Amino acid sequence: MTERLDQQSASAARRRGGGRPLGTAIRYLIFLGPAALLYVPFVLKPLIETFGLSLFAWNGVSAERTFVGLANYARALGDPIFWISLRNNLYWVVTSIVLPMATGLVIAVLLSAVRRGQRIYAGIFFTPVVLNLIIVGLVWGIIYNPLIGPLNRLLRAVGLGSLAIGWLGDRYAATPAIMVAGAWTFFGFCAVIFLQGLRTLDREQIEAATIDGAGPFRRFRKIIVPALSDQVTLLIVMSIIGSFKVFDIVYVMTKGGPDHASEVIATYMYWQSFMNGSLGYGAALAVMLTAVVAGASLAMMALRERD
Amino acid sequence: MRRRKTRHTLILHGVLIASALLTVFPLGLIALMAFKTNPEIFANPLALPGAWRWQQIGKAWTDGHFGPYYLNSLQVAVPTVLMVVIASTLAAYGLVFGRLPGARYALAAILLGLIVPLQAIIVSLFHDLGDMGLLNSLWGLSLAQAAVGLPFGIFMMRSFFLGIPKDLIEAARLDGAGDVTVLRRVVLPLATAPALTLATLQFMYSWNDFLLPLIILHDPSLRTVTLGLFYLQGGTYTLNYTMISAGVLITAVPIMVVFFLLQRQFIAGVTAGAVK
Amino acid sequence: MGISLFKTGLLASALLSVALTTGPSLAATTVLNVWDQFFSEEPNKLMNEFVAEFQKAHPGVEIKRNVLDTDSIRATLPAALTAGQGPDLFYYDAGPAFLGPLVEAGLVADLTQEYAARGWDKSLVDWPVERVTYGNKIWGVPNEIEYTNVYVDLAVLDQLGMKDKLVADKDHPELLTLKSLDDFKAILEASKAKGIVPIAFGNRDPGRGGHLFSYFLTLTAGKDLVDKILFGDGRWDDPKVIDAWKLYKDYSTAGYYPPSPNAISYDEGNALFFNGAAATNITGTWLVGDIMGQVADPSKIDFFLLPSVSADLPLSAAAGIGSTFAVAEKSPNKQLALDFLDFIMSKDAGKRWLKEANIVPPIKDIDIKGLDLPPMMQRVVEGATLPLSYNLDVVMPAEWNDAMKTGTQSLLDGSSTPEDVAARMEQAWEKAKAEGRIWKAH
Repeated sequence: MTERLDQQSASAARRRGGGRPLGTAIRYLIFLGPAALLYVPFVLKPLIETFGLSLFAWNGVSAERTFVGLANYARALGDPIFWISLRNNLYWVVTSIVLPMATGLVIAVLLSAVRRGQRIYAGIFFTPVVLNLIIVGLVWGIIYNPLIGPLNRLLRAVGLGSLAIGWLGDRYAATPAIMVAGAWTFFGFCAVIFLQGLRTLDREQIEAATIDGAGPFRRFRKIIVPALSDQVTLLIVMSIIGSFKVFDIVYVMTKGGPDHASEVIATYMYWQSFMNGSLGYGAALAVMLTAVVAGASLAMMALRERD
Repeated sequence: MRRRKTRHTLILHGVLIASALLTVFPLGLIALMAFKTNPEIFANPLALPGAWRWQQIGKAWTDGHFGPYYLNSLQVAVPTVLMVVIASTLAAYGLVFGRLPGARYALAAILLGLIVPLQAIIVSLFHDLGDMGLLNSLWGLSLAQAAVGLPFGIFMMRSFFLGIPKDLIEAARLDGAGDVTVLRRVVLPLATAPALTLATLQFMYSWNDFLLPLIILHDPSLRTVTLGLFYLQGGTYTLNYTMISAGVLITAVPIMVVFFLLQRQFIAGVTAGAVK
Repeated sequence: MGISLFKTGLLASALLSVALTTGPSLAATTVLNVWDQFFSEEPNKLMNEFVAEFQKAHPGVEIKRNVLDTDSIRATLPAALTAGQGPDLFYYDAGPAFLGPLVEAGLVADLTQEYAARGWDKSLVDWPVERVTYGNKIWGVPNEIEYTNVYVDLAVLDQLGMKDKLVADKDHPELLTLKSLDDFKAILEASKAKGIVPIAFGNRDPGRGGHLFSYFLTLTAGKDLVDKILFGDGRWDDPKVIDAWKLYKDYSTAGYYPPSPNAISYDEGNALFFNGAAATNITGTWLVGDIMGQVADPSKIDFFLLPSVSADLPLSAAAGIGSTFAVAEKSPNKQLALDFLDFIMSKDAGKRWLKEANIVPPIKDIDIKGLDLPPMMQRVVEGATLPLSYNLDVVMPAEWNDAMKTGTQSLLDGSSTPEDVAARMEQAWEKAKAEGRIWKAH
């Protein structure tokens, strides 16, 4: 197939002839020009400016900015809310690796075993992935609502009324509650990725193992898990990056409250920049966040290369 | 043996159906609320509405100005998708087949864009857009969204191009085809499917985007659907679960329909962007 | 397909560059951009009426309103003004965390001369104007007097047998109050005993708890002490400040708030009260409009003012101006913006703010006889003449507000004490003071 395509395309190209190899500059211009036109002014330049801004004290409106060197970075290190935010980000990393990935894996294994309706099921599980986070925040806000929410109703109905707390207003429960909503938007994605991986799995291998007397858990551990290592790495990288960048869902559900307890770096940075008028400090937080994400991603890639 | 298999299948479907119901439960709840009155919601959010009040959806549609907002969202998403698909395809081709010296530095710069959180650059971006006169304009929003979506697009197209056998390109080159010809005659015909997938994903991103429209658009007549929903519930001093739920329904159903129609593209995109 | 994709691309880029280079064609009309926060139904409608009438009287003028919620306008206005792409006229928080920096950066027009020229110095009430005064210059036009109060569900009160606790104030017979704070406690206890939420309090947005604190501080300390802290050598860790926090905390310990107030939004708390599930609701006069609009039978709702802790403090409440109108220094249409302000702050317009939007404008000597205001609104107007204290969040710097607001949340879950919170407020205050970021009218 490829070969035929190969010949066809090559001969097509020959027939029409024309086209000399272009000079390097022109190649750059044609191929990377359009991307640069967008990327440089709207991403790269602001990023560099953010770095610059992090060295100043600025309230966002005054004409002069005061150069403070690395003081904004030092301030972060002594700021308890910065550490709360960072800790929450790390919780997000761990939870989003465990919760949606585990659910997604189970769903994918189940899905791979059904013959009919696989696409419909996959579609349903994927639905939350396509919704915007305003919707997600509103929907889950109602579920957790202490006055009308079905969650607390359910808990009381089954005699667990003592667990019926004000989820999003509780300093310990708020972050886990948001994470569950976050997992809802991500497990379908994980399931689809895993399902793709399972399709390549050798059925005979599983059956052989079954005949050898391997139980379902052993089969899962010895055959399925190793076969999905690519998918696992991918999802872990995505989870790490996504968990450090998490913003919208926290913003729409708690705005980082109560008492900054569910704050993550991105929401705290947003609050410092836009609500607290400390744009230089906000920029320093942004730079630190970028460095953390970059470091984590590079480390993951390095690990992957080594394997 | 066969009976056991049937029972297995039944259990399997049972579990899957239960999980599927659990997955859509939050949305079902909202859908019910959209038809109820506020006292009904307070009495029992899970009960069926006393009457199916379709007019509430109509009221939310009119009060929330969703008609014009849908047009705005389209006016933003379509150019965004075109810009991302075209610029990503060209850039990815250049990076893979363009024999560009120093391409890896360009790649690294783009990788940076993939990991930088949008909130990290939003303040500077806002001021830059202001300097360029692009605030409060749908074009400004499109350009910003396209720029932010670009790194993912380039990586996705690049991973696809990496899968095209180099020989194919070399053969065409030996036959005297120039860069543009190779791109047009050899690579692009193969790239249609991933480009379409990228377009679908980018459309979804643009449609659902919240932060950029929030800070860029000031004129209420320019709001997008997502922003419209935000402001529908954002009247801080009012509480109307009915209207908010109707708004959620109005904004969620179309994107879900689009998703189910293009499901293959979505899922292909997700898995393609993946394993490379 | 590949080729057509390529061609579409070229076409799109061509279109793009055309669209970007051809600016909007010059319009014959003057556009006045106004950003405001009147998203509630009635005020929104009234603003639209004002706009329509003003446009009719000024042919060639188009007023474009951008109605934003508080968070969004805070996030976008400063940068938009700096970039020169902001509104001509805006409605924004007057405090040193909001209007203050804009004034300092030279982004707001000095209206001191205009007050004299347009007679606003005589027509507007003094203290609201003082709230928009920085360094002896006036930078805005306040449009609303608002103050904290306690709404009460008369039907519930009757059910509790507590109706006779409400008494007329001796100096202001039109206003209702209680004999003492103990009577308030009695009502709350009776309500709790009946399984009715005593105070419909939701503190997910901690600004709400801030209102309670400001109100309680008025009761324990009075305006003089607050003045002493704001403009003299008073401190936020003063025992009377701690007393206010103790009152706030005691009501929580006694079970007068609904379960987990930190999880209940302001709107949800109000909804509890609107639906007859709570006896009282401590908030402010800004809620009158929503009560009229959203309570099935608004006549069963009234409000009273809490008596002070000690008898030598007058009947008062924590008051503010909400936000203020201000004009952008860079606006090419300053006079037009001021004309519009003049129009909506006239005595006739004042009557309409009252009648149609349930807002008390800071306009002197409005004759409310013949306006046929509902009794509750008449009381609101009467209360505006009291010696009112400060609703603090709007006059304080950002870090003080953060210390105070997070304090309202951490006191409720027991992770801090009144003394802790007071100490943090003082610390934030000293820092802001040292950096010159506090409100100084004169």
